[in-house]
Amino acid sequence: MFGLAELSFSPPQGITLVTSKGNTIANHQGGEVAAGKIQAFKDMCRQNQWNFRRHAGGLYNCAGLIWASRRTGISQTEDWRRILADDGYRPTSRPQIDDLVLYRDVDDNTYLHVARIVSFKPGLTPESELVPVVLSKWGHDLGECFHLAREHRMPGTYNVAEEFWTERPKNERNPATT
Amino acid sequence: MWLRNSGQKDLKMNETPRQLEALTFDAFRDQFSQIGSADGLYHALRRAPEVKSLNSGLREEVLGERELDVFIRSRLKAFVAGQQFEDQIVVAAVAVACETINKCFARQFIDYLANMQTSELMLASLIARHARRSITSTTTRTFTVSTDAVAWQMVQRLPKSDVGQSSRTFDKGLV
Repeated sequence: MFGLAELSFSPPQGITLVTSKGNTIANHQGGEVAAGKIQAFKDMCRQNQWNFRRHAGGLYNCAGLIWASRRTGISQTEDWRRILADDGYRPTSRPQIDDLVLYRDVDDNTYLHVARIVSFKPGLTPESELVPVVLSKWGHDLGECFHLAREHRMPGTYNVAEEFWTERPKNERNPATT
Repeated sequence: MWLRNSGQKDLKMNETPRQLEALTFDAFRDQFSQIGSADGLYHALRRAPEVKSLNSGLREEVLGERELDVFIRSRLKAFVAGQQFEDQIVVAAVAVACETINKCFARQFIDYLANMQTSELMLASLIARHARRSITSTTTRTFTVSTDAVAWQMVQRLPKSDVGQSSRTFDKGLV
């Protein structure tokens, strides 16, 4: 079909991945990316003033960075929700270091991206709330970088909500944000 | 197959229709580069003006199977075994644009892509599965409203061979 049948493909690879409640999570490991992509990601980091962390690669995606230790990609929102539920995550309005930011497309109620909070920066004024800095792995074939949580480049027409999730024991405080 | 409908305009050899060419621009691909979920990408593609434009072109038969065949073959020239296919999002965009096209080649393409089990095109395959699921759910909805008097008359007017396939009754385009 349209030339697809004429190519020789590699079989998909994945690993055994389960939640803490034993539910299996579908995953797949992508192949390497073209050299041009690696340079393009470096340029993207420079243009957006993101702090480069790792080269572009296809082995894992953002969810794979967060929940599978960079070993594989987790691509379905339903699996992200399963992990959040099974592994004891809950929404929080007072995020702390090591909590997660999930970027949700409000119109279609799908998650677009997930990142982990690694630090906080002061806001505009001393009274402003601290601004979370996150570690992200962009897309399925870009790289990792540090950036402000609100500093993403989802299309401007999207109605994206940033949700903070934590699996900290309740009432635990992080001195970095208090 | 190199079928061409009578309503299609002639294209010069090697000329890529603008609806397809738009999918190759960096501006199109970059807007999806940060999305990490396949269903997020599927919904994003459905809303993309470029995909809507391609869908319209296919519906109006300005372009058809031949143009898609030439276009996808041209993109596949960059395919490298074992390496993520760079134009996955482009192939997936074509599948999403075909979602509401009531043509055999459109359904076959979505099915073929959705059934592929490959490392290089896994993401495009996952997106095509969402497109296929959407077709199935639309078909189900069509059957549930068949008791409506107008819809029932429409079904009665269909040739017997088409009743049950239902695809003729939901050619609405992307919304």
